[in-house]
Amino acid sequence: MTRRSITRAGIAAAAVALPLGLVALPAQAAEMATVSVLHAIPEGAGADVVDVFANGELLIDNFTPGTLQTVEVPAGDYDLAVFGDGQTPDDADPVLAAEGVTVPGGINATVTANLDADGNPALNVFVNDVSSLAAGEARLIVRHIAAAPAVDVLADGNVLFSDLTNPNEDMAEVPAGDYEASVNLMGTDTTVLGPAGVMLEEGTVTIAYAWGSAAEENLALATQVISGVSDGPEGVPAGGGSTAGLPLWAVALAAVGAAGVVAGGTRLAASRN
Amino acid sequence: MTRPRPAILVLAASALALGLGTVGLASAGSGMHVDSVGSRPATPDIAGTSVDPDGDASQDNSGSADTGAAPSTVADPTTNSPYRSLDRRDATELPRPDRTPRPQTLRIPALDLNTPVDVVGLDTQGQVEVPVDVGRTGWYRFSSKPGSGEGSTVIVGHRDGVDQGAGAFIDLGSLTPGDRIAVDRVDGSTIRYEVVSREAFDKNRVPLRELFSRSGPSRLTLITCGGPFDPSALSYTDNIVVTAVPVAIEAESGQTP
Repeated sequence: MTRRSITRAGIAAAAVALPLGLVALPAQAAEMATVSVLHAIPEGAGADVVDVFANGELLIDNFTPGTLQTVEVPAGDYDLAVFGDGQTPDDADPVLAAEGVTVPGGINATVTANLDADGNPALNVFVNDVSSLAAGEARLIVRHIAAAPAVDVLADGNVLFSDLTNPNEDMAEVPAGDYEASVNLMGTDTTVLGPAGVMLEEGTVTIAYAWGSAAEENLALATQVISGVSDGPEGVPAGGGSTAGLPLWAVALAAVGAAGVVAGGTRLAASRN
Repeated sequence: MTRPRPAILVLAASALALGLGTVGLASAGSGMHVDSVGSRPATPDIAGTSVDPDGDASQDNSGSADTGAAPSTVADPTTNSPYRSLDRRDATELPRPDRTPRPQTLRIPALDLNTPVDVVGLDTQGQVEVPVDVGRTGWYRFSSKPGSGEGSTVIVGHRDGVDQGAGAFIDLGSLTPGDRIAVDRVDGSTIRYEVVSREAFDKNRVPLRELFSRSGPSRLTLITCGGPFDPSALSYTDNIVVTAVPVAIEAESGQTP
């Protein structure tokens, strides 16, 4: 809506895209990217039902607050524009726009339409870290896209991230499981969101968005979950006894370590079956 | 516990392996496996990840993680839109804990096996914990629950233990496609499966990512050890993997799979 937020969005997009773009480009013709778009402008802020266009083509139709749409798009540079419901680039000016957003092939990114810290609509582009997790781990990313001051993010009562401000993010890899999450005004015990029970599933990236407006008293949480980012465990040691007890006949075999004991080994092995 | 015929097969395999001596033991996975039969259901869980039956699945998911939704429509079917819609959801719903009941008992009539299923996680090496009592099996708690409708339910068990003798999965390598398996859950319900494949993998080439994936078709994956015993590593060189697919779900547990 304001030129200022549009410009900021454009710069932010270029900044995140460039380092990765240099590696990933030139893109092959068929190279695709996964892009999610989160509508995080609260109702009543002039964007209750919108259509999103990319390079003049309709990308998302009838998009409403609190909704997350995931699309697959060819790698390339995009001009993004958000229009009021039913309006098009041919007959109206966009509510929000960001030009020249570089989307490298293979990337996973999220574009948020949200309020900036002062309550003006803005577009932000975040690259989602979907690198492999160790077995048993989950990745939590928290993004501040609300018209609200700096906050601390707590998990089970302990500060996990502190001094998070709009439009920034923080992330951590934590053991998978159930957590109680809450958001406090920075450095205070004043809880503005939560506590809410959140499951962080193994091998998934859970992205939590704090959105809305403190002044309008409609701060809320939204989440995006990206699964399938675990390589699985290192192996399955399911023979030769437990790790608590080494097989003695095997220890003997290893110690002597020569073909001379093979006959004996055969007999011992046979007796075990 | 064990049927005579598979026991003889295992004996023959052991004798062959040890008879070849240190050369055979050193060349891990060189053809002394339980033969592989049948095939696992395809698991196209990660876009861009090739599925290699030898276990060399490429694991480049730097940018193409599963969104959890099947690709469906283009944004606007009336145009030749270059954009493909994957999923639209209400983001204000938080991810909630999964309430599907966990498995409690594993029954395999062909092996005369009825064994408790513990809940297991990871050891300090990042490997799956296998119950110390070789007569018990373990459901890997980061795998799908039976009956969840998606992904692999992994149950592991020992082949044997030196001080305990035969383990619950001593004869896993004798299962063949068509054999029946039942998993009873803690709520008294039972999921019935039919074996579709049995495979042997050198431990360095086990397709762990596929076998443990929580996406793709619903399936039961039983894993134990097999192949020759490597005395230098104090373990068997292979993993035996039996895959079964669900054929029925029953609200109350019967005892005749």
